[in-house]
Amino acid sequence: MIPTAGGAIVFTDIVGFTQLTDQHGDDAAVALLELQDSLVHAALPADSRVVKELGDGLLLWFADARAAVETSLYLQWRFAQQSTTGGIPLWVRIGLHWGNPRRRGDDIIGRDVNLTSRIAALAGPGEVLCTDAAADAAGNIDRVTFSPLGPVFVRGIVEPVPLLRVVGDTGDPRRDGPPTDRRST
Amino acid sequence: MSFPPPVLTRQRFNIASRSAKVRVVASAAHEPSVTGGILINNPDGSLTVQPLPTGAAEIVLICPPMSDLSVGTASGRVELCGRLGDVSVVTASGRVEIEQAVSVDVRSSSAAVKVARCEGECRVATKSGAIMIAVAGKIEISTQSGKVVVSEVAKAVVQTVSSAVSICGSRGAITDVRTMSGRVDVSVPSGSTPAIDLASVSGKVSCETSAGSDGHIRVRTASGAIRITIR
Repeated sequence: MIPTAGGAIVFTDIVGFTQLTDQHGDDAAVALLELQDSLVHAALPADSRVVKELGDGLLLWFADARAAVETSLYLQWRFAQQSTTGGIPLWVRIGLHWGNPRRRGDDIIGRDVNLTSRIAALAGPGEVLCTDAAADAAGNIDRVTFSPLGPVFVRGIVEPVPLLRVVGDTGDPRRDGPPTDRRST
Repeated sequence: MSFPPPVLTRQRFNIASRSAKVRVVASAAHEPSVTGGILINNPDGSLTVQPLPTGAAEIVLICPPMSDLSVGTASGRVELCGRLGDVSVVTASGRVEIEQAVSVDVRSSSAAVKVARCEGECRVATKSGAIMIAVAGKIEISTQSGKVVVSEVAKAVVQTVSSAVSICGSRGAITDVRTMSGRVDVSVPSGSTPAIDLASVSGKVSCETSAGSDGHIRVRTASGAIRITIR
């Protein structure tokens, strides 16, 4: 029996990374990746992890869907903050799905992972998109709305998938503390 | 004795079609009807257009004006005619044309997107398709390499990687454009004096207007040229 890793799957992807590398050079590209890494690692709550790096993107896993939604919004807020302080903008698209991928060592694989990657590709810079499965698993979250975008066909997946845009209140969506802190109180 | 006005609820339609062209016509003269598909009532009161099992080259939906609409296709072209409500379209490569809607959200990998009139917020996110918006209240566009042309807008937020951006701002318009290498052209009406905030790391910057407080133009590029002109 292949072990599973039921939970929330999140893909991040830096927009225009190839062009950015071409224009600003490899050192700037590495610096941007390290900035993304540091922001993501600092934001991750307990029961979540970076599964692997994928070039200019990251594959993340969360045990809790609500924590995944809140952390994704928080990350976009942090990326936007970083982009307004000057230098090279850190434009990131994020896709989120709730599923039951298979575990292979530290890695996770399967249809749900592939689907999450496709969802991330549909997001604009600074956006978080998710599937209805992720929204259902997250439930109601204060100051967070899920706007339906309708059924979506993505490459490699036969059936259309209901897609939603995740919108957080302006400002730090985790101003009451990260999800881990809230759960522990 | 007076009666309260009737509460008009907007009908919502969902259409998912992998490759068939989707054409929607908002028309007061017809009850909802569809060719090339089947209308299915959902428990929440919305209607889903399901493609025929035999497959059809085109799905045509006739719906009431101001209907809300969600369309998903892989390669099928999407053509929306008449005045619609809140519209969202997600397609990989099918061309998208929208005549008029209250709000628009279009996402695509490579489709060209054309919106003639959007009364409220118009959001478009693509990777490479050209984007043309004729009239909109507020636009939010992100693309990597698709050319962006906006004819008349009150508020524009545009993020591109290498796309050329051309915007005709209205008097008092708020324009915020950020690109890496794309050229940015913004024209303002004669006599308009917006606040100007332009910066490019290595691109040429030129501005014909005098700075004032009649709207705001903010452009940031890495290597793209910036040009502000009077029309």
